[in-house]
Amino acid sequence: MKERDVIEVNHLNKTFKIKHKAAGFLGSVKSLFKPNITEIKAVDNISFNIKQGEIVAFIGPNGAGKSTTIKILTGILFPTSGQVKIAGFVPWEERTKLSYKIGSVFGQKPQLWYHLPAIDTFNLFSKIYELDEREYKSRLNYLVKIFEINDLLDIPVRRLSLGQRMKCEIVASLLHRPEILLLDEPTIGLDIIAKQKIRELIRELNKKEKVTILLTSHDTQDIENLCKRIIIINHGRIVYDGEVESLNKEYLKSKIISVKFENPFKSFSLSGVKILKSEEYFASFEIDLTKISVKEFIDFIIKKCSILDINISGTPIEEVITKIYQQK
Amino acid sequence: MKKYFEIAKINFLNSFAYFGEFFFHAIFILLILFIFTNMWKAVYSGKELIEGFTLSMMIWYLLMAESIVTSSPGFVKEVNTEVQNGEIAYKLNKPYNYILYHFAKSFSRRIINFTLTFILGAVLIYFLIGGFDFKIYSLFFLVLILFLAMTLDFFISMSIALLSFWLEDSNSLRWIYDKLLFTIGGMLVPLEIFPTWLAKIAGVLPFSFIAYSPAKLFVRFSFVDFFNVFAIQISYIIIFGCITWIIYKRGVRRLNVNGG
Repeated sequence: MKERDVIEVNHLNKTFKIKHKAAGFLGSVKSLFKPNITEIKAVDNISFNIKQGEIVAFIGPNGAGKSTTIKILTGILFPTSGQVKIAGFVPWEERTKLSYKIGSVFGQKPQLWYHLPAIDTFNLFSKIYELDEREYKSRLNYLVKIFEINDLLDIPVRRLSLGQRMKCEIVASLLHRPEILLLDEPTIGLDIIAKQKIRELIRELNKKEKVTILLTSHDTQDIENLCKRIIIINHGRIVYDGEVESLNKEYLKSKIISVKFENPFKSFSLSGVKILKSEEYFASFEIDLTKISVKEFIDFIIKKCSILDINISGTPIEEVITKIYQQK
Repeated sequence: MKKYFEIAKINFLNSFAYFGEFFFHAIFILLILFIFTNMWKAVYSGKELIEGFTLSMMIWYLLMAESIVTSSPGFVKEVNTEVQNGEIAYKLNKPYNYILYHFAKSFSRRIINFTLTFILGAVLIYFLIGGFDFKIYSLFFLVLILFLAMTLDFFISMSIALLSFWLEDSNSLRWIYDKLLFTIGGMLVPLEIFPTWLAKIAGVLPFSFIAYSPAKLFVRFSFVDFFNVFAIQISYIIIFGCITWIIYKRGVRRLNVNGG
């Protein structure tokens, strides 16, 4: 069976009017009577489709239009032009209907009531989403089991660890069986083990329930571990939409090579090689693969120095992304 | 409707974490009551009635008016922040109405605030000057009037709060509104004490239907006054409810400016 598109975005545009104000008191008075308004294109002709069950990373630097897009997708903002259909609804026209289909977790905007046990928030959500009592109970039991939060249910949220809290946040967002889950920085502030656990749970959930996940995160590990597809947005436009894997291939035009020497290292210059760091018995190089191959570099360095240890690593995805961000 | 009741309930429970805050708030009100009681005692020295109020009526009036006005929870600030930093966006993606959400949330907190202040204040006043001739049968009607007074207060406060869509900070307006309640709303003294012309103006403005009218009905109940107040409160609630709704609708369309 062919999966259907649950998110369809066509030629979406959003222009903000920004009022400029000259400095000083006079400037303030002036802008009161004759405001100097300029238009900023926050979202510039964006189109993409997401199929049911996909996990897509949706990233971009601050101010790239990422959160504007998400706000339009959830029906909070009105676009200037373009069409959007989420789970069959036009978000800004049918926001309430749509909200039954969407679940959201915002790492920095907790939705659990802070002083109460998580179960109280769960019960509240069951009422807000008008869930059938029996249905809700079985759903809750199921999620509690997967997320292993049985022991946490009766503890006031403020006494839970960040990782435990995040588990409960995710459970809260899933009670109403959303078709689409928006995850915004779901692992922010967590330790490595908790991060891995959360990622594992998200993956499992996606597999079991075919829930479509749109993930925004500054943690590239989240992206590499969870997503097959990545959409990168910058200056209001989509600058990359494709597989995370090919992102690496396409942009991996350099390697980092670290070398430990037997004798003190003497600096040299070679076309396509940049010395990133050098100490007495250690140096790390960034080699430009368009100018020099790994083999050529190693041949060169072996001839030149006596080597104790060598380590070759690709550019981390983080740098790939930084590169993309920096492109105009 | 049920979901809003649940929101009120959960916030009611959550608010107990702030019990200390409520308590100190109430203590502060007690201090004010104590000072005013002594002041009124001095003013009344020898006099039986001032503008139709006995001393004990005056003090009990003050307690009621004070309890109503100061019980208002600080949701204006909350809404203001939510609008300014765009957090409102995260409140809007649930199937409930934003205004009713805040209504339910603030009301539960207000009930705790009001009850605690009123009970502690009543105990204090009872020991300071004794009780007054309270009509038990008026209780039901008073509760209704109190509910409407707080609802009206909510809608006025909410329309002020939602002006944050246009203003940098609506807290200053809120400050002015508070002071209007204190003065021409009749929280500190009943309107009868004012010069006639001012009392007339204050008597038709919405502020007095939040503090003055309920407090006066509390110390001197009459069905004529009750129906009068009831009708005007309802009218003002409809007016300010509509204003709130219009501001909200237009504001959300404007949410733009703070997006990004």
